[in-house]
Amino acid sequence: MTESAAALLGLAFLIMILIGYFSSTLILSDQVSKKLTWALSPALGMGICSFIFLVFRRPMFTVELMLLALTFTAWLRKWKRSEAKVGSGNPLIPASAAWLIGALAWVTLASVIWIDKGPFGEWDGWAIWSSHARYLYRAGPVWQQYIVNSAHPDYPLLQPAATARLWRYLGTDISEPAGVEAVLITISGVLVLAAGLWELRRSSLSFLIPMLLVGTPFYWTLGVWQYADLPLSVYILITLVLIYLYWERRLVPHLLLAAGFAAGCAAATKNEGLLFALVISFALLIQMVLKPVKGAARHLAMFFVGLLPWVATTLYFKLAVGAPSDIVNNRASGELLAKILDTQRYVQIGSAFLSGFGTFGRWAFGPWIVLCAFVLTWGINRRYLRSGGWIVTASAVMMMGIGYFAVYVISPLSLDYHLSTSLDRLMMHLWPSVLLLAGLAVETEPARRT
Amino acid sequence: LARNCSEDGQEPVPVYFIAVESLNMDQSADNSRSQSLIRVRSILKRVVSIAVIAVAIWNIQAFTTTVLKLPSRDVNNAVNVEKDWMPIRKQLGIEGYTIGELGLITPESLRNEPPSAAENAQYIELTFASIPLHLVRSKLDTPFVLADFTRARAELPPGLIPYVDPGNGLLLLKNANKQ
Repeated sequence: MTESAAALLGLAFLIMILIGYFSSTLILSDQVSKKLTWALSPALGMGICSFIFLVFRRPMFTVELMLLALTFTAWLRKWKRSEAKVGSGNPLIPASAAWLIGALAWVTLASVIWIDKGPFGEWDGWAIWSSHARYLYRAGPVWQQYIVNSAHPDYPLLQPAATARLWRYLGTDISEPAGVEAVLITISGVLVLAAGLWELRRSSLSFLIPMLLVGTPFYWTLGVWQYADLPLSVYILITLVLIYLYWERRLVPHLLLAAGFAAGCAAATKNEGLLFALVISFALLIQMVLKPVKGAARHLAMFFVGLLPWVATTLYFKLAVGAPSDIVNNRASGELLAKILDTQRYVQIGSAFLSGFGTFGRWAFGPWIVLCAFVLTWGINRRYLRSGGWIVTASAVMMMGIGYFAVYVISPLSLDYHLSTSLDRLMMHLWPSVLLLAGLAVETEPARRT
Repeated sequence: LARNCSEDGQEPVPVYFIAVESLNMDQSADNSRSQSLIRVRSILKRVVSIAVIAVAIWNIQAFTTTVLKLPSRDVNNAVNVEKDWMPIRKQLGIEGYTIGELGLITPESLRNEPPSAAENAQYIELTFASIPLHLVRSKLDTPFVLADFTRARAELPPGLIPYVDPGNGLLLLKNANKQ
């Protein structure tokens, strides 16, 4: 990559992150700290910019710059107003944060070396996701006509659009940007977990738990492979953090607007994200029916307003392109029924899930013993487990697990093949969220500088 | 009030004094026990924290080893196919043929043999490189046809004229009947 290309790439990322930051600050109001807002910015910025690329295409630069100028102006006005109110109440950051930053820097460096050696990522990374990005970039306005020639043309387009957007900035479709963007989102996932836990618990564990995510080799591998599973796991995590904050922060509906947008981004990243959008909407709805809150209907409406842009675009794309989906199309009810009634499939999937728990992260040393020791030593706080935030987020994760199990039951592919090629990736979708739930369940103590 | 004599036979001490004293002693024993429990828990927390960091570092080290063992970019298949395709892409751009179908022939397809695993892998890599052109196997009636002779050479079918030969096994053929 030339120096000018690197500079343009930097500019594209800067604009994306700033759009994410200013928009998040405006939507989330004063409800979250700057740390969490910055952590959310790359992923939310990528969601906004990909949407602009897909919907506006040609005037993309104009729309992005206008949005940047608008959000910046609004942010500036707000910042000037709130500047006087800001105190110096920042609690001490514990020493474990230094470990996290050091580990993150180290793994980032290793990932960059990997991208240099394999700039196109692994098989699905280029054969599916970068292929779709190339159709978006190279086929111009007729991309819908030609994308059907690619593998899995029905897959949602957030990640390919993000890559194609970077190529628009560079004026050429070189191989490196997709990998760099994937690493950025991978880092962002760790930071969201740390900043989210810090925001909610202000404890030293906020930086310890994310160490387990940094120390999950397959999390980073999926990033450098440029698989969409990684951004999906980050969007699921962001949605759950914002929903948890909603329940903890006096039920501020703006948090649900941002959560809805993140869930929409998940739906536009992979088909499993559509399942997540459904599951999280259902979990929120049920919780609000069982424990009604003031203005529940308006709050839910905010969530769906956030969810709508990406879900509508994704569904429109699926209908307009009309590409077949290997899970849904050409299925006979008799075949489905036979699979649903086949108990052997349940046993096989169940045992694959059980063995998968121990290995999906491709760890050299599994984290389960230390995670269990962590939970036992810190102790579970039952009050936390009974909170609306924990119930909604935990039930969403559980329902996702059940949903994945059900998809395997009715899968048209050979079950052995399907499980061996996808189960570890599906588990990785939920791993950052499981770590979040573990961190939010345990008893906390105020952070000390050690 | 029930009374009791002190051990040295002096003033009797009320029973409830003794009870309070023993209660205080119990409480201080409880306090010291809970203090030591807190201390043990604090030590355990520190040990577990160190274990969490150690496990993470162990795994990071494994990831780093994997990265360092990866072959260099020069032997990456996707990179090489991309490089091989570039002169053909450039020429097709000059011809204005950047979208549509592009026939693909291989020695196996010319012999009407089913594609091997290696040929399939090469086809997918070429498909990626040639986007948005649509590579269609064994199709000979497109204006240009790509010959993949990277594994072996073969006789060209009649009507297909060599047009670009970068010398890497890929050959762009012009269809004489379609010009």
